[in-house]
Amino acid sequence: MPAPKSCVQCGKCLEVCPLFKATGREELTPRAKFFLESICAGDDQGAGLSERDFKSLASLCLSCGRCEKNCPQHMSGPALVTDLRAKSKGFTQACWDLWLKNPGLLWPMAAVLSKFSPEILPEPFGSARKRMQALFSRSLEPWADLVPQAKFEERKVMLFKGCVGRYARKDWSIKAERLMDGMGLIRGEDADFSCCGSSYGSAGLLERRNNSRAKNIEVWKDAGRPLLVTFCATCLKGLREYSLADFAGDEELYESWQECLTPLSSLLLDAEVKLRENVPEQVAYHKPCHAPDDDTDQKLVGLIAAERMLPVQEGLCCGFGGIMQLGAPELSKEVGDYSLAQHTKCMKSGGQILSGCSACVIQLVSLVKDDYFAAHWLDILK
Amino acid sequence: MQNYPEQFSRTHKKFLQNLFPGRESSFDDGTLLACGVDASQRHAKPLALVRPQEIAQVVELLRWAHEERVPVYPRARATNKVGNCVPVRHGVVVSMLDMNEILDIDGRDFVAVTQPGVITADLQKAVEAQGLFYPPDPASMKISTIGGNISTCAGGMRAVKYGVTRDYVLGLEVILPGGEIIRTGGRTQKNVVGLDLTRLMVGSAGTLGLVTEATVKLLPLPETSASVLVGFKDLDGCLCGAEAVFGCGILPTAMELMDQNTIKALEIHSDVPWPAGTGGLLLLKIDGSAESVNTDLRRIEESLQAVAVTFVEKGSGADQERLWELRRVISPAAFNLASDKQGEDVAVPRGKVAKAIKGYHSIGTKLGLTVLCFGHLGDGNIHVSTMYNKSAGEQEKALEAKKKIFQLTLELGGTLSGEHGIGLTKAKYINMQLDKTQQRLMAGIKNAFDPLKIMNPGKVV
Ligand SMILES: Cc1cc2nc3c(=O)[nH]c(=O)nc-3n(C[C@H](O)[C@H](O)[C@H](O)COP(=O)(O)OP(=O)(O)OC[C@H]3O[C@@H](n4cnc5c(N)ncnc54)[C@H](O)[C@@H]3O)c2cc1C
Ligand code: SF4
Ligand code: SF4
Repeated sequence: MPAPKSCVQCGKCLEVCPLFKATGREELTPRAKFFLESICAGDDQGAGLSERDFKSLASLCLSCGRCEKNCPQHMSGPALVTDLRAKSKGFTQACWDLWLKNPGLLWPMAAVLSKFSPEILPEPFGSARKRMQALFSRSLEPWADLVPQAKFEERKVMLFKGCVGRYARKDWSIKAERLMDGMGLIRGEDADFSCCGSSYGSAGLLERRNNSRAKNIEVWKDAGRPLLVTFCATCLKGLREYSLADFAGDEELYESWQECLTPLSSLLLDAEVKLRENVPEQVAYHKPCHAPDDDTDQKLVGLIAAERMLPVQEGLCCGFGGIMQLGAPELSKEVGDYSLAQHTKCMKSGGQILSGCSACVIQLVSLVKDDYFAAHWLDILK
Repeated sequence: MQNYPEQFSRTHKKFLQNLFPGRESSFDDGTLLACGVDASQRHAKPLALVRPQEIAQVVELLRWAHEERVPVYPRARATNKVGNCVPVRHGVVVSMLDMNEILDIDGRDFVAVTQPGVITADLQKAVEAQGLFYPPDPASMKISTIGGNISTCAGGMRAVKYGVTRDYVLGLEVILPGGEIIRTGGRTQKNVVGLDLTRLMVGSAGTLGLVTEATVKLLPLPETSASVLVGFKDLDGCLCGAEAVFGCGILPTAMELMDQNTIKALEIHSDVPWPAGTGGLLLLKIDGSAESVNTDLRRIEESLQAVAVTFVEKGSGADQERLWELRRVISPAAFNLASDKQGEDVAVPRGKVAKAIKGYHSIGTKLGLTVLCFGHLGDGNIHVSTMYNKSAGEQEKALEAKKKIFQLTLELGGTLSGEHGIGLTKAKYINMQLDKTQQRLMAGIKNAFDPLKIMNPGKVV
């Protein structure tokens, strides 16, 4: 991506920003963020806008990255927000810090938290377990079997479970490993990977992000540079974003890292699909903001669901938005509700919304109406 | 200058909050600042932002604003480039974006009825799904609204063959200052009763009233289209190419030109298909039945044989969007040449285009600035962008260029603006084109609609 220049107020980002789409609030658009930034930095001393007000408005961003892709000037909302957060030591920031430091306890709380304002944040900590159960009580019955083809891969492989796979949905990790075994892949010893780092990054915790990256690279090198398999689009994106600097400028190592990152779904596109009787009538694929260009999760869901698959709607963001859960839970919910309304507009009762990103799944599961189901595609597999 | 309120009284604010409950009104600094800027990059801070959901609210708002002498600034996606959305006298910004329903698409009357906040491309998609066609296609069609397009009389690349927004507006519902509702025109294609208030409203940039509904004319959707991008060594080659195409009796849907400097900006910005050494480009589109498009394509190719070209690329169906995307990104890509841009969208009679472009280039050369010419060769509407660096103190020179460009344009029988209008940024040049009598008549019309000057004050249409 070429270096950003400056915002020319053309308004192209309004076409894609999910916050604007769901709320219609112009002050939340990337265009507004950059304008407010420019006048805060300018001669007229913010023209009546306090720094605090600017920061709280500008940091409302879901880090979906759409603005940057669509902007002729390559302006990036997430980069602005990361920068703001990196420089701010506000309350929300501290909460987020706490949350990420204790992923075992708190990650599954992401969606539930969105129902609380930061002021009463401590409450849900106490009843984490109870709420966790509530969040996953409506899990769906698997309806497909995948018989993967053997893969002749000499390299070792390892599963990068991500925070959710490690602490909250261990069943996803178990299924993923079983599929890997089914392909005859040689799985390395379970290793202690850290968070992929992307959540730290968007929260502005750059030091912690860099530490995570360093740790993961270390573990991967020690394991003999295995293929790293992921089942979460955001983890994959987070891992792909490691920069040459994270590898101390070692280009060969960097290239090898990039080449090792493998979405689990990409290994399953030639699998044999067997459907059970309880197969749903309709399936929608929720395309995560962080999905790679070649979205093999979408392909896999399409392969399994075949004619049951509804046309994929581009441009819908689940609204999870990391730190926004804490700072502006209502907004996060509003965006999520908007997405679900679009997904279920033409969907019959009992329809399922599948995705390949842990954060999307958590958000959608917590907001979806009783008539429908939301799940990771791993959930539909026996 | 007339006095407008600098602050709102508590009663004012209460009134607005009652009429626009909850999120429909905002008064916080961040929101107000954010709705006071547009693509001209000028800005001012209003006293309130309101977001009407229905006509009754607009009626009540304009009744109140008239009574209280509060300026009203209609706003849609704020993509206009001349500052037409900037609330220079504060007042209330009225965002029309929530009134965004398509009310009717009628294939027998060949009309669509729509609220103003609908995105133009969405309207187009909706009518195309029924085999119908709404031709006006400003480059901003995916990011601007039909209400904004009507209020600026937006024109696009298809203007050569199909005309501009004004040619498609059959009727309007407008709320006047004071709260009266008028319905101009209607669903008929012909209508000669009375003065043409519909056309008067089109392009009036929110200075006469607020448009709350529009009836637009539709055509049958052409069966297919195809595009051709042709490269030439230089501008002369390009213009010869254009002559050759017109000479073979074809009226293309669109005919766009890009000069050498535009090519340079695009080369930095995007992956481009043309070979090095290309100094001028023509981008053509034709549409019609599959047979006629094929025949036309062949004739175009034949006519171009007499001219030296550096490359030709054809596209049809969805594939041609690739070619058109290059045209759409010129505006932003221009910033690759310098940090600041002063864009003019002058228009000259078609036969004067060659003379005009050469003249604009030489104005740039004399002042030591890069001047980009691109745009609608087919209808004589040329975008002339003077690129400069404010930080290097080149602003003065840019302004001088602007004046000279305008002078030359008018000498050639052209107009200061073919698309974007006058607004704030070009207000002081209006005397160059309109004489006293014309301006007096226009002021009289404005006065008949808006005697207290509450609609978009501070702007020139
Ligand atoms: C990248 C880019 C490309 C562009 N390309 C073109 C082009 O090819 N051709 C072209 O003509 N223009 C072009 N424009 C300019 C701009 O897109 C047009 O002027 C467009 O019509 C503005 O629409 P909008 O919805 O953004 O309206 P706004 O900019 O929000 O409003 C425009 C004017 O209309 C008034 N207004 C808006 N809604 C109403 C209403 N309901 N009632 C009364 N007044 C109202 C506003 O007060 C303002 O004066 C381009 C702009 C950009 C940024
Ligand atoms: S952020 Fe980019 S797309 Fe959005 S208004 Fe600014 S320049 Fe245009
Ligand atoms: S990252 Fe997404 S939510 Fe944030 S400003 Fe950009 S488009 Fe909007």
